[in-house]
Amino acid sequence: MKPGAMGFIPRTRAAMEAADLGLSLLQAHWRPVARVWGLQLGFLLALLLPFLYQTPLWIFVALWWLKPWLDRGVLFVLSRAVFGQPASVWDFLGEWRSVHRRGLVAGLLWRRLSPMRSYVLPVSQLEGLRGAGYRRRARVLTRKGGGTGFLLTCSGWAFTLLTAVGFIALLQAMMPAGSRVQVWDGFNNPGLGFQWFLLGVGLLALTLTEPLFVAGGFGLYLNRRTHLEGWDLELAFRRLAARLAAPLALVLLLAWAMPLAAQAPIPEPVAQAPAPEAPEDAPQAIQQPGQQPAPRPAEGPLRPEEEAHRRAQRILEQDPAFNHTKEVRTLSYEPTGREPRWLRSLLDYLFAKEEPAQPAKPQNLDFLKRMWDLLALVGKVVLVGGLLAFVLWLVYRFRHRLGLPLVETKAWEAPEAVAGLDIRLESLPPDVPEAARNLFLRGEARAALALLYRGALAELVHRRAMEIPASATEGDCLRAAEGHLEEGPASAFHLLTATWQRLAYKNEAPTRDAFEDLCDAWPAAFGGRP
Amino acid sequence: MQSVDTVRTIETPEGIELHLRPAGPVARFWAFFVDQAVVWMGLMFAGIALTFLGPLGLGLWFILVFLAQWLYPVFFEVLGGGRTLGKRWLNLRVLRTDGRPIGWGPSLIRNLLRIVDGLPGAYTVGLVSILLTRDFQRIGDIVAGTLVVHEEAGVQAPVLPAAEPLAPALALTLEEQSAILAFAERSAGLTASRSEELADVLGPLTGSRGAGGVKAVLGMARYLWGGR
Repeated sequence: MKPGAMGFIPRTRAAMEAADLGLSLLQAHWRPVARVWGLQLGFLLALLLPFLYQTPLWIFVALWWLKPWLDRGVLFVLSRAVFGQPASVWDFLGEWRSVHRRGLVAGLLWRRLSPMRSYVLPVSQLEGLRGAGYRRRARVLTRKGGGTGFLLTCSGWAFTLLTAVGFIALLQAMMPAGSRVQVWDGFNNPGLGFQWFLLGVGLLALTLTEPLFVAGGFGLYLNRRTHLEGWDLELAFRRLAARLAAPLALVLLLAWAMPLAAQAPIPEPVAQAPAPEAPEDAPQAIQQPGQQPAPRPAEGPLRPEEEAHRRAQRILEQDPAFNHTKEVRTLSYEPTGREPRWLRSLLDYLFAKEEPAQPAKPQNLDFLKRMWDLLALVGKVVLVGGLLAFVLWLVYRFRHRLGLPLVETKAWEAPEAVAGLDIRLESLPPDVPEAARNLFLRGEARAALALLYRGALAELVHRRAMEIPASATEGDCLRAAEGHLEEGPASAFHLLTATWQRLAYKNEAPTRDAFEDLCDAWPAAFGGRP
Repeated sequence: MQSVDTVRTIETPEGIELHLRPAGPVARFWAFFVDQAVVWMGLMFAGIALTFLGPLGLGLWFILVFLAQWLYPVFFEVLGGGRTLGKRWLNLRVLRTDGRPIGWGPSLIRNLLRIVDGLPGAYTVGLVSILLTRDFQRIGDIVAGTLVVHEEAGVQAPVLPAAEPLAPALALTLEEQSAILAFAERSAGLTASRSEELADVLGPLTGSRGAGGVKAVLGMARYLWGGR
């Protein structure tokens, strides 16, 4: 296999993402999948219709049970696509034997309800394992991603059911206004027409969702093998080796090629797939519930001896309004007096006839009721209060995001240093330009300019109330000053900043004259202390 | 031939490549399921509390149902970084299609359009839309310009097996380096024979085969990792 010949890019994906890889594969190859699916479905219908045309719902049940066979077609197309081979209907027919050779009977019988059916299907169909080998392999595969395989199966059921419900609802929604047809009522008494309709809806739902389920399982399978066998590593290594060894390396064949194309002539026509026997009388039984006459009540011994009771009983039996009986069977236990005490207490506990609750004394009841009311009130207060507190807490917790005014709007505090320069007023000499001149004359141009610059900042921050955070850069300060100062001081600050930056970052000291100009402009622009 | 992948690469104006992995129907179904379970659990408790208020409570409860159904996902998506509780559970996140975080507008649109995706009663439109679009978008996602993506679940610091650091014979590209590092990281999970097979592919680079080759590749990983 050449590095570029894989139909998907192997990566170590999380399981859920791997299931989506399957869907992406399905999207890329839906045409051949649909063709093969149509062929299989047509084949099954042709097989089932002559026997079950009177009971369409049983056709659906049979199709539903035979899904593992339909799955094999989907998996065949996808697996061929992944390994770079075409998969037309003719290929499917040509590979008929290898597709059905292994595990089909098991898949249709005891593995039919396996919760990770689509995840482990490639083990039997593509790897051709069976028996103990299959079980071992499936165990290794499902050790990781098994949970996702199960979720995939569950969501497969859910999608099929929801899609079917959706189609039925769609039909109901399409009924013209004023129509009295209630599609959902069909379920109460499903006639033949409604059964055909349900079969159609079911087939549509299966067609839409079953390939998704199979593809998801195949994605899980591919990803698990990528994890276990390092397919992505192999591809990367092959690319590297190819780069080293020039085009010759491309001819290398994989020693680990998957046993996909393995074929052996074991005929096993699917026509022998078991079709469930349809009980002839089943629909009739469904169609006529609750129409038999209710059974007459058995004439039991009337325990209460009063005449009134008898008369009431007679009315209850004869009047059609009361003519309903319900048979309730319960287990009860009458002690014989011979059983051991523990058995008796156990049986009493399990089967004793319900004894009437002991009537409580009135004042006790009153007290209890008052207690209960109090408890209810407390509960109400706690719940409502808790809810209110929760809402308030939510508002408080997300007050920033909700754009509410912040409670703790502290007065802005001038930082002690900006960009590493001390800008406290106390740190400045009384006459900043003079001190700077002295430094400059001593040859410490950097210190001199730093003093001028931080002096200017300190004056701006403390005397002109310019707000800059400690994290501000020179550019930030400049922008803040331009918005804050009049034109003259602003341009002076601009010049000062530029000079300082040239010295600080380019090590380019200003000339004596330029420096003198800065010093001269300083008191007027930044209003030094008297 | 085309190679199917789950990763969509987006280049930002700054020239940074973002790798988004759109999430398909299975993960999203379960996230929705968890969200609905949470919402209805909350509504149940609220309902119990509100019965104390009689008919007023019933009215309030219906208002609460409305708000929970329509606004719960919006609030959680915007304030929770694109993740409702269910999405958090399944490591999903809602983003705009260009990779930016979702805001109020798109979130409101994509959640109000659930009424379209929910048609004709069981999210059939949404499911079909997800199946038909390359990035698994339902109608609401398409209109709002959003995407539900998989997120990396807790990444652990790699543990490389001990080996004598060995400098590769030639300069390796970034991709090749990361493949060698990945081999070392995952060598504990590969069988010995498979490790040797993989290392044999690199025979031209290591100059040895079998166990010696594995040792050499592990050594290169150690070297690339920073061991000298």
